[in-house]
Amino acid sequence: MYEFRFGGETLKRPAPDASDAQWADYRYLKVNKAGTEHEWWFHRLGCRRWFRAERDTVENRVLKTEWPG
Amino acid sequence: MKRLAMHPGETIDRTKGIAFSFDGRRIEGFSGDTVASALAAAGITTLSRSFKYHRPRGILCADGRCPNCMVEVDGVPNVRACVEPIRAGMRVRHQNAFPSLGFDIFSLVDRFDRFLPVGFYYKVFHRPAALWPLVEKMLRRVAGVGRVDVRHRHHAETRIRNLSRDVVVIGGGPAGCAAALEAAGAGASVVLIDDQPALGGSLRLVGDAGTTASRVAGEKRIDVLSSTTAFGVYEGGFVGATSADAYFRIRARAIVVAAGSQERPLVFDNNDLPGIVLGTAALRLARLHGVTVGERVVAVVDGAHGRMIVDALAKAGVRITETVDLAVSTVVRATGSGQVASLRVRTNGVERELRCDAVAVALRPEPVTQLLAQGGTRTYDERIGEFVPGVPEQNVFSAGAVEGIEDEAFATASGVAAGLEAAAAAGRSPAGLAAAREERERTRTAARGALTTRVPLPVVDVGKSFVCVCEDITGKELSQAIQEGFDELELIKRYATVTMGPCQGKMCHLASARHRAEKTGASLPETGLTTSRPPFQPVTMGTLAGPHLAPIRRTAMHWRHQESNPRWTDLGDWKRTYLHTTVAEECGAVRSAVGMIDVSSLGKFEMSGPDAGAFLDWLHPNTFSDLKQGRVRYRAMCDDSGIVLDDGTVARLGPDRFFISTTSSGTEAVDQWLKWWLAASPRRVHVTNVTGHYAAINLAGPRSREVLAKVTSFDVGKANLPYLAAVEAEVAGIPAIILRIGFVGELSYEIHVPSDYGTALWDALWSAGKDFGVRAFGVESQRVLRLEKQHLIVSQDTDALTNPLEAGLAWMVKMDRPDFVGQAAIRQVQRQGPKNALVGFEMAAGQRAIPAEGVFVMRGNTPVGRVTSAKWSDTLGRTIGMVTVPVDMAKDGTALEIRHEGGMVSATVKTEPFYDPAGARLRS
Repeated sequence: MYEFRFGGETLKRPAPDASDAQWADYRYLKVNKAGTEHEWWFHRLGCRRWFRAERDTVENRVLKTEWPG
Repeated sequence: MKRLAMHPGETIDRTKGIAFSFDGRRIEGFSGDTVASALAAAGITTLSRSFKYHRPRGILCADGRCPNCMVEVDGVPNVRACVEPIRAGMRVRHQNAFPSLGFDIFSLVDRFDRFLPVGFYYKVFHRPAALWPLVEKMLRRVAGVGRVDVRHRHHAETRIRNLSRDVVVIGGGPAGCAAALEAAGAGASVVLIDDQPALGGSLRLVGDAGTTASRVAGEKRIDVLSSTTAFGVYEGGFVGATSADAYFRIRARAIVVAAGSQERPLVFDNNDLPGIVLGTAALRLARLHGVTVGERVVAVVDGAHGRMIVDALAKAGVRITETVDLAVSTVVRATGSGQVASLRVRTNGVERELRCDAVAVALRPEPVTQLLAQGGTRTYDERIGEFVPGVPEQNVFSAGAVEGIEDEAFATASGVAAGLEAAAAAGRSPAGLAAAREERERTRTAARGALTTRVPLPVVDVGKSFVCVCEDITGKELSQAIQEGFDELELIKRYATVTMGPCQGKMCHLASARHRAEKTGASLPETGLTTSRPPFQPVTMGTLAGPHLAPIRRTAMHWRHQESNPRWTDLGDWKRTYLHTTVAEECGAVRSAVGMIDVSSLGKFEMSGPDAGAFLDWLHPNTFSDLKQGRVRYRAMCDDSGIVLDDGTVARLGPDRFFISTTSSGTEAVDQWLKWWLAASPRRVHVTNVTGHYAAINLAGPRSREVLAKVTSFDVGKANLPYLAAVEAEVAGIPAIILRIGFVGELSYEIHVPSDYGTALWDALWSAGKDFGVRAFGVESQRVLRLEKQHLIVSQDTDALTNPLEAGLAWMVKMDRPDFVGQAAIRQVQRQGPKNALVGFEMAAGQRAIPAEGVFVMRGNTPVGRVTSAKWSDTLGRTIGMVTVPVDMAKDGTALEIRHEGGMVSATVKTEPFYDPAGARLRS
């Protein structure tokens, strides 16, 4: 059990009338970029809140965290 | 006996004898002996047989790093004999030989090695396919290391210890000890990890380890973990380490790696014969355990290090009959049967046979850079011809021979500097950092200047010249792999499995890199080394798992249930009653009178705020903003792929106040899911997980209303509390939420009260129910009862691909809305047409078979669906269940063929609930 849970890339949810392909992109095709990634994280064994993080996926360094909204 | 005369510095106590057994034979050693040193003293040189060719193998490194002496100790496989202390009565067995260590029929493989060519995993025996099961069975017997006794619960003995310190130092040699002392002197808390039983590192073999060790022992800020191996350096200052009975998880603000250096074997024909050991192994046995590896020992050296070892061996009383210097000579081959008897060397074109019973190979050691390379980098130093640590991770420092410089002054100076640097990184302000750094550079320059460039070792690809003793890979096989096109080191590794054995490449990674460089014409730095990954040293799964500690959640009424000694079952973390009496009795009570079940493990949430109704609409395919106060409605939740995640109920207790229940297993996921949506798009909604706050009982059966009426003044009559009503009222004097819902298909009440009152509610209902024949029922009876109603269980009757339209939930989906989570996906399924359906099935009354959950539903020879649930129903007198099948097979009355115990059974699709299809009892 880890203190933080990775919540995936922050993605923009398609409009309701978007095409099946756009929805499939959103659901299944992650960018998985080597570089600065914008992500969701959940502080599971702590405050139990979601926050956003900017993380360098090459160095695995967290560059910035912020509360959403 | 091959004991040497007693000498100062030995770690054995010759006054304390200890007896143990090896393959049933009684062996006597001394306190302080390892299994390997005691066996060596008893003249036993073969400890085990090798992985592939079943060649006899004996001590090689005597340092716990190679695979050669792995034995089974008291049922635990793959124990390294050279670092395992002897204990009275311990039972040691050889590994990998059948029927015996002396005569192993599989060693014939050694003579027919063309049948096990390089990459044999990938290319032999796969055709004809029919033969594969047989061949696989045989290969399993031949290949592999050790055997696991499944009855042995070794992991139960492993503790997990979490440590948090300013500085962790890895390596207890002169550099590591200096670093630990300096860091502690600067005020830092330090943990010093060393894989040997006593501190001192190389000083234990040549020099005086006592002074340093006692200084470290006298420093209160240093905790020493001896006989403990650091296997991984991870991000965030995390170090994993293991000892015989503990797994250490260490967090530090700074890490000093002073892992030292390590000798490696020389590659020549028959270089794996027992008796051929590393120079430090011979010295370790002699110095610490008073054992000589042989009576006539030939030493092989390639420079100053080797000559130093030879001197030390001679001083310790080991008889060195000849020293072969690789600067002028080449080792051609070793010969001997079961033990080395002769070494053939060539000098100036002349070959000689050197008779011997042991060979000490003392070549210039290689820096142990693996731990540093796990997080940082490794570079090649042309000047000294060595792979050395490159750019380290933040707050990771190195000291001593790990930097490729074998020198006492440098070890101390670099240890001091690294210790101060680590203390500074940990937030201390050590004095003298600048001076210490200067001293380190001064000693480095001096020592480096005196170092020769490493002479490349010969690459050999004839005969049985083992590069990798773990996986039995010879130079010939590496050359063959390269010829077949696997000419990059990482490819060779994966194809030939070189560096992939229990030693994790410690013995062979440089030799395999040298081999590749030579055979492809590339340079050594171009070739590089294989990537270093944790674990540096093998770690058993049981160690990582730790002791068998699983959290247990008990409901408020747990101990009341326990009084009648029910059968328990584990559902997630929860303990739930499986059966209180029998399925027949429990189900009978619910169907004909009244039963009660503890449902406290249900997930429960309170949701409030002006946007709560709209938020629930957003999260579900059905709607709740239109739910009237005082009513409860079924809910099933999907993700944006339209997959059913969870189900339960939503009750509206106030204008902006909802009480939500979830599945027991889905509670945590739902909690995170709700919070994620609120984080992603804030709403005026407040969610509280009240799962632990409420205990809950489902009171079910035709007499349940009468029972409830006895303990509440609230009017529970049908008019005031109809089906799907939700009210807050006092029950047995306890404030409660009463939901009139019926998972089991009877008139029933789900009653939630604060957990502290769970037992009081249970007792009150139990007393009130006595006159009506109330019975407690468990999860198993509930599963039968709900199946009689075809009520689905999410994640049992659904899986990670089930959408509501294919789960029989089309009735609840409200599509005429702008958007909700999963709508686009459900619309796509609607457009394309659902492929499968979840429907009930029943079997003929006389048929007693109960298909296992998960078995196939067949169409001819093709599996087309599967059984998701199946139970025997006493009420119906037949087996019933649910299947997911293609829609054309989902019509009522369709005949199904279901796999069952190697044969087939017949069943019929039943789309309506088996019990009370109109739901009259539910609504009564």
